[in-house]
Amino acid sequence: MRASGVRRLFASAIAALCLVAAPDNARAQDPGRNSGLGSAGDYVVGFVQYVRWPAEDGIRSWRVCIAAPVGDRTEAYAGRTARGKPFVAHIVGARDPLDDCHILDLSDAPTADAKLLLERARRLAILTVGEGERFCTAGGVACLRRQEGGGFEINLSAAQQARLAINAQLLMLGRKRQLAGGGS
Amino acid sequence: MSAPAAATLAGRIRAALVVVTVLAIVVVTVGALAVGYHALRAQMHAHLRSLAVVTATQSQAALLFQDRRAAEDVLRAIPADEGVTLAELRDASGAVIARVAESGQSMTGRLIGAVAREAARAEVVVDGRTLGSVSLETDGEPFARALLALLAWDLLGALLAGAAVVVVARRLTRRITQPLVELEAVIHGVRAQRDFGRRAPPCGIAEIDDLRTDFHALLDEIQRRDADLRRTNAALKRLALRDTLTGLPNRAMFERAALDALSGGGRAGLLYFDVDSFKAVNDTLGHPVGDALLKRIAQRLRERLPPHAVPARIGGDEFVVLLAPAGSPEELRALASDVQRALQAPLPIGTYLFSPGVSVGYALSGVDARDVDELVQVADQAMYAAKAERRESGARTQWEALPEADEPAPQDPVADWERAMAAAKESVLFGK
Repeated sequence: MRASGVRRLFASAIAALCLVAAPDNARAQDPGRNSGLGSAGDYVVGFVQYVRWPAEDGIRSWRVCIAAPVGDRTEAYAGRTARGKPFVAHIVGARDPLDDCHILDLSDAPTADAKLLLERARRLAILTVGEGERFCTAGGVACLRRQEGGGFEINLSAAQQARLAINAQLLMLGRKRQLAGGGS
Repeated sequence: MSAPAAATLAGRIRAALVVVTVLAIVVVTVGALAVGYHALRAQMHAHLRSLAVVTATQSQAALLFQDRRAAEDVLRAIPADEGVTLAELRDASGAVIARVAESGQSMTGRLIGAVAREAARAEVVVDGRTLGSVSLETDGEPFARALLALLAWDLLGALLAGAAVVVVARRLTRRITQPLVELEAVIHGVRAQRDFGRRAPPCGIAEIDDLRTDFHALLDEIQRRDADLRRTNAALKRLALRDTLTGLPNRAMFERAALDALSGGGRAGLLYFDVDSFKAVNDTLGHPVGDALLKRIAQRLRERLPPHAVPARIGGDEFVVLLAPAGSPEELRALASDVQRALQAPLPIGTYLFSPGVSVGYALSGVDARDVDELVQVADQAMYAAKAERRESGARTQWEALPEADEPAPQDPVADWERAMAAAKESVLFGK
């Protein structure tokens, strides 16, 4: 017990010396460790700022189709706007039409429904948002990583297939996550 | 109480140039530094502000998605050479999302930062909503470097300008003062050595060259007047000390010479000659003939005497010869006899042949006399004694008419004298 205290004291002293002897031009950082948004809805609202849909001039509101078996996820979009247009959210089932959807939120959808809806949304101008790396592997456009410390990934090939234009900033965020996280 | 020493023209010109130059350099340098400081400072602030706006734009997505690592990457992407020492990204509530700070600044950096620190802030706005803000701070090192470079250039410019002014001042001073120095040398030469022939060389400065030209003209005038004055003085001197008829020294010059000779302490001898019955010549043949006779006697006297003898005409027909140094009384007597014989030789004048009769007396200082007056008096008495003896023996000046004139008629010596006097008077009065 006593030896352990001495070691901790010694380690603290070394650490303090290292701090004092840090080179002049070293950049110290003080970033917060908690990153990312809380809900998928927050991400979706953010994505809309950096995604361009084809024939966007005709869009009067952002229609968010949510595939969620439980709970009222539409409340997350109530009263919110992006680029001057309001969000209109509704729940869709696995076989509901997707023609009116601009965003398909599959973050809370069961895997089977998510696969089906993802397959149906392919080639449509729909921003598909799901959870985890496997969602992107399956062809989703935006893959959230809320359970892995926050952040997201952008599947650029899927976005191109959906004819969605992704802003560079968003791509940078998604790509950085890929590079920094190494897929973790 | 003496007057303070006058400053030199070169010194005054140099001092004026130095004052003006230093003033100009200070005004320009300080002005350039002040303008440079404010311009650089404004530019630095504008640049930092632009950098903050750009960073805010680049931070939009990171802030929107609350991606702290991405936000930090944006801040880290600010080039190090921008001199940003602190970059902060805060959300709308003021909480720090990302922060990058330069740590462990050097002493120089802290000193620079104390005077040149600058900060800028830009809001991060997405879709009309302020998500947060970016704050940047710099210690102004690039600004300080630019300012130091400006200061160094200012100092270099000031040094170069100062050196150029010193060179130009020297050349200008030399160019202005050199002609004046040369002119002064000419004036000094005129004043101290009466060297009227010196002239100053031409000068490249119009005003000074005008002065030189005018001075030369004045010098020419002075030189001419000086020559006239010399001539006039010489004429006056001749008139004062020379007998105008015979050209021999007159009584005044004789007395001066005799005084000099006696005051020297040496022995001086004096021969005193008088033409016998000269009045009869004048009364019978006229004054012109008498004058001509005197001139010829004077000429013979001059030719017969040793070089150191000073002959003079001191009266109408009275001549003296001063001998200094004089020999023995015997030598003096022998010379007197010799000269007497020479003067009494037949002499043709105009249409007459004269046989001049000349009485002579002599005296020797230290033997017969102690001063000039006594010397003259003794010699005069001796001459009169001799003349009395000669008169008793029938000796006198005789003449006879020549069959033909061998020489031109004598000129009018009185008219010559009047002409000479008129010329001398005119020369004195009108400075010719």
